[in-house]
Amino acid sequence: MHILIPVWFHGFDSIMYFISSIIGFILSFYFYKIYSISNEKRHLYLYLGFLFLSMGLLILSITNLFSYIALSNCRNSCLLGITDNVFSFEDFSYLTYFGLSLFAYVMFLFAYRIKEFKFSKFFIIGFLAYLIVISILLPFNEEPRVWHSYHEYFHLVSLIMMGFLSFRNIINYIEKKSLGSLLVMVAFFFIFLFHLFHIFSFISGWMYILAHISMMTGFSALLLMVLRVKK
Amino acid sequence: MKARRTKMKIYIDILRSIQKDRGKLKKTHIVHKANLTHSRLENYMDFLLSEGFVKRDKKGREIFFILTDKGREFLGEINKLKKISEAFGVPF
Repeated sequence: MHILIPVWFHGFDSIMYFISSIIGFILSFYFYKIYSISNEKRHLYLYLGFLFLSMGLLILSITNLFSYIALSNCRNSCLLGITDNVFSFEDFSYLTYFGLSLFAYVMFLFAYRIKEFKFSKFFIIGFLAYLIVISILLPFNEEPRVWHSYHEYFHLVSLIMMGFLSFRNIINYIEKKSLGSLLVMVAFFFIFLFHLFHIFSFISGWMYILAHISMMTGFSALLLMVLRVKK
Repeated sequence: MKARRTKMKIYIDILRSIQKDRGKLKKTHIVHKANLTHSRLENYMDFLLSEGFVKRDKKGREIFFILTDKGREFLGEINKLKKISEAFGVPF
């Protein structure tokens, strides 16, 4: 399925991905510091999670911007890397972003002690199966826009994982009732909404905009939490 | 089973035990509060003294360890990291 993006919004999404990746890098830096003190695996998972998520968002930001520049250079009709049926640089970048983000979410699941629920094996097997399916189907994909045909699967899998993480953070907030835990809960919930709106971005350009506003709100909540603590 | 403390965690435990006692504590009390042996504490205290996180204060036959401003600042930073970790529901 295709994604509808309003022309006036071109470039704003790249900026939002870039800002989000910087916030992610800041958090990975703090969790690295925490891990070096505590030596706790859960801190290591949060560090790796934010690091991979930030790397994915940075790649997405650059690729998106590159696509928009290429699009603005061909005013009439032209084939972009993402709209043909050749596995191009853009396709590779988007799939890298998908892979890094999913890996980051799996790390977050480990950080939230998913093994207590005996789900870890299920998620690892599910994640590997997802990657295998993508790599098997990719060469036989008849549809043009290779990455477009996978984006809904990516957002659906992310939605399930983010749903679980949001649920864990709601419980954490109920237990702690602190502003910090509230901001983290809000962050995970808005990243959950980002994936939800993205799935429906074939309906209207507004879904795409709402998805990105949600993502920005989520990462801003994380930044606010860090700034509040550092003050 | 309780996980082994890292070196850094032991330094923090020592500094916290001093801080909790109004920033001044006897060596024997630190041994007890930071859960260390006398010989192990010596090594850790040497480092904390050389880095200026604590200073020695001798009163008669008794030796006290006092938390310095640098030590207090360090614990403040650690508390901030603790808050970040706990906001995510992961204990520090």
